[in-house]
Amino acid sequence: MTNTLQLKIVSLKEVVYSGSVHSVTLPTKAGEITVLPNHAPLISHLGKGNIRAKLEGENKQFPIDGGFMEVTADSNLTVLLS
Amino acid sequence: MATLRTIRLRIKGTKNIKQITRAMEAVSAVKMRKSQQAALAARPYATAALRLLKNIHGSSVEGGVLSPLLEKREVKNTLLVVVTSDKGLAGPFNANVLKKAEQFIKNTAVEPKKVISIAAVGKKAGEYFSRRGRTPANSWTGHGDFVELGEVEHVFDFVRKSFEQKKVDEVFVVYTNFLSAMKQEVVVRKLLPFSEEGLEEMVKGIAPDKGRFAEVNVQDVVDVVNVGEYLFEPSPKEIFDTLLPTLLKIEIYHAILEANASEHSSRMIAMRNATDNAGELIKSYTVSLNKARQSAINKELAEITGGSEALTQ
Repeated sequence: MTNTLQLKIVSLKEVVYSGSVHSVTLPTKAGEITVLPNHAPLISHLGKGNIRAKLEGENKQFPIDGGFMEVTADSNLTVLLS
Repeated sequence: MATLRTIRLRIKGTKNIKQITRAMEAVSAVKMRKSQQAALAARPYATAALRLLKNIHGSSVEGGVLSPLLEKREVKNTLLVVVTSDKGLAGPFNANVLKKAEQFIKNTAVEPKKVISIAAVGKKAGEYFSRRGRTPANSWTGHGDFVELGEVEHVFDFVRKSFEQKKVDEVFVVYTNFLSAMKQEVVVRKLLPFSEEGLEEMVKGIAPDKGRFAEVNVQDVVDVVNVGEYLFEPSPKEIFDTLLPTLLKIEIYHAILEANASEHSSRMIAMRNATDNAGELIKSYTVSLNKARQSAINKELAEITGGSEALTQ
């Protein structure tokens, strides 16, 4: 069991963020969701909004226009920005 | 023996050419660096996208075909997208792509009743196939040196429509993969229908096996197996309907991006060779110029001494 999540946010131009976080909140098309470590594998469509990542006593925020997200069984969260 | 005047003219002409090729080399070097950066920056995205595609590919089996882009049909018509440049003077860059395309056509056309149509990206491919009586089904030019995703929209639309309307049953793309400034490789990849092997090949092709650009860990990408069944939100159908076209677009975009970087590095090398050759030529012309001048002086001297001797007698 891991208690961190590997978050990777990539756009066509660059890798926006890559690192371990404790939780991530994402704006999906069906509403906002929060992903914690050991989440079930999930693929979803993202809408406009902010990705908020929580680290040890630190919050990061990434405004996005939309994209896709993928959570794998080994706690990797990949966000593809469009 | 050439006269002094013609040799001088030749030297001057060669010098001019040398200046132009040197300028082109410098321009290509800058463009190469930029397009190389663009191509490299897009690689993490492309690998992530392809991996995602590969992962969900297995999920599509149950519940039938989820997207028209995954549909496997009996192959009667093949579409080949050929990616070349608009401009020449890039060494063997375009010739290599066209050679590969020609080879592909020859190998595929062996099976009877298979019809291959061409979609040409870049002026050179369009001209080449039109000249050989194989008019492209569609062609595009003017993909700038630094392509934006929006610019490949036409190509993507055409490919998608042809496939979805069943005009073609499979789509291949032939383009140049950028390995390093000195090395590029022409590759043929299957675009549609999406298939596991095709995707894996594409991912492997993205990361060169050596050199300083090998930072993308391919093993990471290929080894992801047994990730379990995915949940799809809002629904698998919706995800497939939006995700697959996007990924197809990325694949096309990526191919053009790689081709651009390759074009510029190929041109840079070609121009560097041309500049070197011009230098050699100037050297050999200068030698023959000096020889011609010396023999002219000798002749004049002989005439003068001959003349003065005739006077003293």
